[in-house]
This record gives sequence, structure tokens and C-alpha cells, in this order.
Amino acid sequence: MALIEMIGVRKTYCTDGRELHAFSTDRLEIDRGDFVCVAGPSGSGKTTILNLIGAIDFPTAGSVTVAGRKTGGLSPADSAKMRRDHIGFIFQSYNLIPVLTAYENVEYVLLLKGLPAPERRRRVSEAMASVGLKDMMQKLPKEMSGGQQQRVAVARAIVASPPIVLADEPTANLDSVTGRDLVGLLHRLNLEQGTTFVFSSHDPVIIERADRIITLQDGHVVSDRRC
Amino acid sequence: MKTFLLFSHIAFRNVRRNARRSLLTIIAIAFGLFCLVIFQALKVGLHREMVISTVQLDAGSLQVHAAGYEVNLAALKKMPDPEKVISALREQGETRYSRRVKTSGLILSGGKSSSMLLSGVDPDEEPEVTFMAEKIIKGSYVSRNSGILLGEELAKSFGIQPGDEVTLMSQDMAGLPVTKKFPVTGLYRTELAAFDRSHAFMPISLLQEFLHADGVVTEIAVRSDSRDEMALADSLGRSLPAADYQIRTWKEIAPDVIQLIGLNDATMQLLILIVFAIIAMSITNTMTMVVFERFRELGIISAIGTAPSGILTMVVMESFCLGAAASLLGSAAAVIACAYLGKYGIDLTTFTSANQYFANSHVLKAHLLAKDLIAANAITLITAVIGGIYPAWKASRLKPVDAIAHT
Repeated sequence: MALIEMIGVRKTYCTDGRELHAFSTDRLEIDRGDFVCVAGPSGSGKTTILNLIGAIDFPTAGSVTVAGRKTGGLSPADSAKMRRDHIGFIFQSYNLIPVLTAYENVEYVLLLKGLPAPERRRRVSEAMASVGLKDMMQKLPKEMSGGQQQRVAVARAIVASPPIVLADEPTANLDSVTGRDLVGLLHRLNLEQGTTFVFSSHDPVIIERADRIITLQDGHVVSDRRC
Repeated sequence: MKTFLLFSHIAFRNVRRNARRSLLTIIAIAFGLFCLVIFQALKVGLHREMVISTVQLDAGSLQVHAAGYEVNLAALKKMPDPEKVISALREQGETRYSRRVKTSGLILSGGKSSSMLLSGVDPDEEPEVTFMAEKIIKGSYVSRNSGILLGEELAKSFGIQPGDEVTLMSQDMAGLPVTKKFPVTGLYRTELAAFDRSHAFMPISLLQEFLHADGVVTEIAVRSDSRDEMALADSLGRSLPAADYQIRTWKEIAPDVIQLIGLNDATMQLLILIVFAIIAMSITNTMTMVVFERFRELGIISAIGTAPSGILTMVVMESFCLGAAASLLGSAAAVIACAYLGKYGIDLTTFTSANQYFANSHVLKAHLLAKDLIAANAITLITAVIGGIYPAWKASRLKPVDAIAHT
């Protein structure tokens, strides 16, 4: 069974009384360990597909199954637990908690999971080391550059070893060198830890590294190819 | 527990995040708390003053009379066996009592006259019950077989001084008129001019002799500072048969004082309600702004796995932190102000010179009770939490997908 399954999914939004089609697919599966890029122009449904997989949005019709569990019908508390246990998020504009240090931002997820302090310390140190920021642990987000903040966001996304990491245009706010480094880092984590990565991006750097590219147009999958 | 500490930690740091707004909110709440504590302390001081004025001016904590006694002072109502009352009081451990004879009379001097309430008091016992012995401004307090003690106001209008003589007219035990001259031994002054004009004191033995009422006692006043007067009245009631004795506490003697205290308490409760409604609105306003400002941030926090209950806790804890800081600030300021007002007070002479509840002093002093301070702080914290619940509830119900898309 695939790690992520979308069957007969349709997502529409109502805006000013009008129904707006955002995304639909008859069947879409993503396997464990995939490094997938969802590509397409703005408004094609890239973010919608990530939101549906990440259980922060729910399909109008059809079913989304993540790690063997359907996201539809989950209560807000259950969907939060599902995200906590199975999914790491990397957002376009870093989105760290501004009042927490880099260390605390990364540790946050582990605290939610109730891990003991020594285990938290070990995991945070490893995650921060893997993104090359071990010496920045006590910095607040405002004391770090955009690239550094995005790497902290990556550390936060991977620290609990979720099977899936969703990254919504993670390089959009970074310069090309920093973006390339970040994608290299994520690819390394994919290879070393077997984490499934699903990106939404039209950044060529990500597209050229992806081992599967799903292209969307007007909310429909127009191509799905493995590289 | 760990997550609770985490949310508390974030809440605490968020309070410092917008320091100016937090400070303004804290100052507003602290000011409300400060005012309430001060008002409450002044109210307690006022009530203490009213009770002191009632109990220590004349009434005592309670009074024992003969059964059927009415405040018809023209006819003396003799108490059956005063020594039985004294024994009952001693059995209860009460040593502060005063035997009295009270009647009405007319005082005459130099062509002027005035009706008076004449109190025959025991010179040794009376100072244990009332503060009259401390109010002497000229001459001396009553002593055995001395003369009469008059209020300064009356003496002034009569133009008499200690050493002068006045004539008293009254009715004796048989209802026959009696008249006699008495020397004025001293003048007193309470803070209540009306009382001073209408009350005269003399040794009980002298008044008994004047009224041909040898050994007669009409009233025993008792002062008990350490014991509830109702409980004492109940205990005494078991030793003194109701057929012979009538026991009344100061609350029954002066129900107006109790009613006024009750009215003040009700007014204060209304004030508390208003102030805390304002505090709650202030907190709700601030926290609603906070939630709207952090819409996206809260969406991210939710997206990375924080349950709605966690977000609710985080926002409520932030309100609690604001309330706690305000409690500290408001309490510190209120304690300092109460210490000052407790020592120096507020001079209310202009407003209270003719008020029967200020017979002892016209200076209103604050009296801060620990329980009032604790209650005010507890209410502040509870109000802060309640004020934070609505915005917290709104925050906890945010859909992460909408919040993250929010710019």
C-alpha cells in the first residue's frame, strides 16, 4: 500500500457564491521514500495538494489516506495528532515561532510528542547538526538570515523523524545558492533516512533533483513522470 | 505537564513581545485592582469606625436590661438582680462591663435649660466599656461622689466651666419630681456635637441617691472585643431567664449601622462587578488583537501538530500572565497606599462633623485585610483568564489552511 493515496479527490472552494475548482484527481499514489516535486504555474493547485496530504485541508469529495489513515472526518484534535505523528512541514516563508530560539523551535514538536528531555536534547542536536546550524541553537529567528531560518524549519520538520515531509515552495524566498544548498540537504536526508518528501515548486533546482515530477494545470494532473 | 509548561513559556515570552501594549494593559488592570483594594480597605476602615463609634460611645457590644425594658427613660425599669448578670458574665470570662442607671432629665443654669439623657456610671467600670474617659477636655472624669460631666457644646451654650453648679430636674423611682444642684466636674468632647449637647454623666451612686433609687441598676453594658456578640448573647441567654432579663446586642440596638454597612457592601459589590467587567473587556480586547495579529503564526503552530486545546491554553496563559503581572503591580501599589492611608488617613471633618457614625474620629483610615487583598488578586486572575477565553476559543478554532494563507 502506498504511503499516500488520493482516490477520486475533488477540492472546490466557494468564493463570493461561486464554486472554484482547485484540484481533482482520480487516483494519485506516493510511495515511501519518494522525492516528489509537484510542479505547475501559480494557481494550478500545488499548495492545495500539499494541504490535502498534510490534513490541514480536506477534500470536497473522495478520500485522502496518509500512512494508512483517512484524513476525512478527523476531528481538529485528531488531525493535529496525525500531523504531529506523520508529517513534517516546511513553509515558504520559514514560519518559525518568533519568541522561541532555534533550539526551542525544533524541540517544540518533540515536546508535543511528549519525549523525555535527554531524548529531545539528542534529537535536536542531531537535527541542528544535520542542517549545519549547531552553533546557532540559541539564536532567535530574528537574529538569523532567511536561509538559516529555513534550515531551522527543515530541522523542525525532520526532528521527529516523520515518514512524510511536505515543503511548500521552500526555496521561493531564498537566493539561488542558498536554495540549491537547501535542496541538497533535503535530498541527502531523503537518501539517508528514507523520508518521503513532497514539494510544491516551480524552482528548476528542485525539479532537477526530484525523482518524480507531478505537473498540474488548472487543478488537474497533466503529467506524472519518474526521472 | 511538559506541554503546559511549553505553552506557558511561549505565553510569557509573547507578553514581552509587544512590551508597550502589554504594559498598557497591565497598567489598566493594575489600576482597577489598586482602586478596588483601596476602596475596600477604606470601606473596612469606615465600618470599623462606625462600629467603634456605636460600641464604644455608649452601646457596648451588648446590653442587659430588665425584661420589658423600653427606651422610655422617664420611668426607671429596675433590673431584678444585677449581681446575677455579673456572675453570668464572669462565668463567660467577660470582665469588661459597666453597671448603669439611665434616665432623662432637665438641666438648668443661668436661666437656660436643656433636656438631657442622664447616665449614672460606675467610674471604675465605665472606662472598660466606652471611650468617654478619654474624651475629657477640661476638669476630670466622673469619680465616686463627684459631680456631673457635661459635653463641651452644652457647657459653652450655658456659659459654664468645671467647678460651676447646674440644677438637675428629673423623676424619682416613684415618678415624683426631684431637683438638686450638682457641681460640674469636667467637660468632654466626642466628635459628635449632637451627642455632646444631650448627654450628661455622673457617678451611679450620686444618680441613685438623686432618684431615690438606692442600689438600682437599669442597664449593664458589656464590651467584648474578642468574641462575637451574638454568640455571647446566646450564652448569656442560657443563664439569664428571658422572663427576667432582656439581652440586646449592639446590632439590635443600632440596626441602622448594620443596614448602612450592608448598603456599603452592596455598593462595593456593584463597584467590583463594574471594575472587573472593565478588566475583562480590556483583556478580551488585547487578546483579540493578539489573536488577529498572530493569525498566521497560530495557523503554523496548529499545522505542526498543536491540538486546539494547546492553542487555547497558550492564549489563556498569555491573559493569565497579563493578569498576574497586573496583580503584582496593583497589589504593591495598593499595599503602599493603604499603609499611608492607614497611618495618616483622610480627614473627613467637613463631611462628617454631624454624623453619628464618626463619634470617635473624623479621620477615615484604611484598614487592609489580607483576605481582601487575596480575594482581589484571585478575582483579577480569574477575570483575566475569563477575559482570555473568548479570543483563545476563537484561536483554537482557526482552520490552519485559512490561517496559513492569511497575510
